Amino acid sequence: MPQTKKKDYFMLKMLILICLAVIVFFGSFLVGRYPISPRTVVDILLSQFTDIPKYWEKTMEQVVLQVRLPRIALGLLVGGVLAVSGASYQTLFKNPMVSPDILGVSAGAGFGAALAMIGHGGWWQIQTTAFIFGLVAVVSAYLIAYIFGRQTITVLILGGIVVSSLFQSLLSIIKTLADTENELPAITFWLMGGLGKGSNRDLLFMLPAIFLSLLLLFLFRHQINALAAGEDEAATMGVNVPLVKLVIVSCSTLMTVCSVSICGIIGWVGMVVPHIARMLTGADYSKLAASSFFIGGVFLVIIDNIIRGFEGVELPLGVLTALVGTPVFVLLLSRVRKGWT
Amino acid sequence: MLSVQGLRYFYHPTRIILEDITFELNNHDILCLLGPNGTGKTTLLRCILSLHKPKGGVIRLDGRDIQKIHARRRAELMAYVPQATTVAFPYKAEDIVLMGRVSHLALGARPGKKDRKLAEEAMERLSISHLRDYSFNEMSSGEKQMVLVARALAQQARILVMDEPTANLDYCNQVKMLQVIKNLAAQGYAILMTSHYPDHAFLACTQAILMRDGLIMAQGAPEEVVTTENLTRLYATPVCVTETRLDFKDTLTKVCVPVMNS
Repeated sequence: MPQTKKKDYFMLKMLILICLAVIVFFGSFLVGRYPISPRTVVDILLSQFTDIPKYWEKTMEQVVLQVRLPRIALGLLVGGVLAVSGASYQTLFKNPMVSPDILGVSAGAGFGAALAMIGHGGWWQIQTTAFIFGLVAVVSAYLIAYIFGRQTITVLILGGIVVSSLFQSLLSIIKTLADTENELPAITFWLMGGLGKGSNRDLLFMLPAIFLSLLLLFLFRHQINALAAGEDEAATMGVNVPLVKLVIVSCSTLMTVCSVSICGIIGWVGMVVPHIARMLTGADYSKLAASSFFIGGVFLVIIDNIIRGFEGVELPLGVLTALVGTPVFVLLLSRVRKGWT
Repeated sequence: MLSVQGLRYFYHPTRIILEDITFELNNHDILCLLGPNGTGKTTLLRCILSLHKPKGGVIRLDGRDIQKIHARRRAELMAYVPQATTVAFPYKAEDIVLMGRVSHLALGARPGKKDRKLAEEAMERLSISHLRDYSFNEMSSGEKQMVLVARALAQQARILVMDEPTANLDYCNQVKMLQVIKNLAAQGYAILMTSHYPDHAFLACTQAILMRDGLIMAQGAPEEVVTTENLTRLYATPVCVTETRLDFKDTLTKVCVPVMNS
């Protein structure tokens, strides 16, 4: 029976995703309470690089460059890195139910942020403590596995769960101590996530860390892929398992902690977007990570556009991702029936 | 090619798992490890694959101490064919076979034309090219096992370590697998396999090792060591090795039958 090789059209799919990301990126500048024409948006953006006579009001420029640009770029990046972290952890742990906060990064960061808030810390302090405690949580989980579990995957996940619950209890203590007028609502809103607080400066701060992490994951992508066969089998295939594991955990953690410390806790993306990406480009990690990044980014920006489009209230991002994402996911699942196990 | 000398292993010093294991494996050899469950066969394979560090003795690959060989180089000398299980995600057969090329990839490089060609050839050699685009998890045990052999071939190692390659297979697939193993040995591969079927030692193997309680009870050519007395002792169950004239063959064939005294 002669068989011709089926093409997977990976490059074409990626090209479409990238185009989609570009369209969504520029299109999102038009969304918001302050109406700005597409022409003006393009001119304002271009005026940063070339000389264009300024025919627009100053507020317009501020809205485009100081409000919408960081928010949209942040959405694209945060959605992307959360999805890539999720895809990496799912491949490492061989578990489709894993999300980027499996090792406690969100719980740690949440505690850190809340701590700074009842200490009347400014935005900058909240970010820093969230960042630090996010890292502390993951390092603790990793050390637990390293010291007591001979680095086995189960003990690592267990360590993550234990550390998560520890920081969640600590967070609860802080919530009970917080004053109910200002601090408690602030903590609650922070925990539900949002892209509104990020500035261009935050963006510049997280860019190098994210770039480095993505680069490392890219370099090791085929070694990571082999881990899906199991650690032992990967080792017999010549993969330096402890090193690759460390790369995955540190890169995913760094990317997630950057996003969480600026945007709060955004659920759903890190766990479900990799599944959507898998339906599109298959299980192979080298392709999965690339498609996850763009799908996650586009998805988060679109969700944030819905939030920005609403007059009056700012709905929390972490809530809307699941609210919109779940029907989308179910729809896809019914269309593309692919073997789940 | 592969030599094991005085190998000793334990998880806990009071309970020795392997003691004084010595054997040699060369090109064209098919060595079958037989023994009851929990006798250390799998532990022995894990030591050889460097997944466990031996507590005594030496394992050599081409004369070099295996612990001094870099993991990537080791993967080019020796490949592992595990028992077929499931993978967590819908990988295609082709993806799985291509994984075998990972030790040959430079950091950051992706599998090139040569890697894809080798993966394809490996599947062709086992006549499973038609399975290329199928999801690994949706395959039968026999097909999965063949895909894993193809992955080991794509790894281009000359020593294949197979953990019960015929487990969970029906007669048709058992025979297919044994035929594949024989063909590979004829092409110069050295094969180390474990099995729960002593018959397979007669069907395919050039050497057999009988292991009991972490010790080698007997080793040598299957005709010499797979005997009624040895198997009865090995499994602590009456097993009869007898010769029979099969319907369509002139020669005598040895078969092993467990005896139940009802």
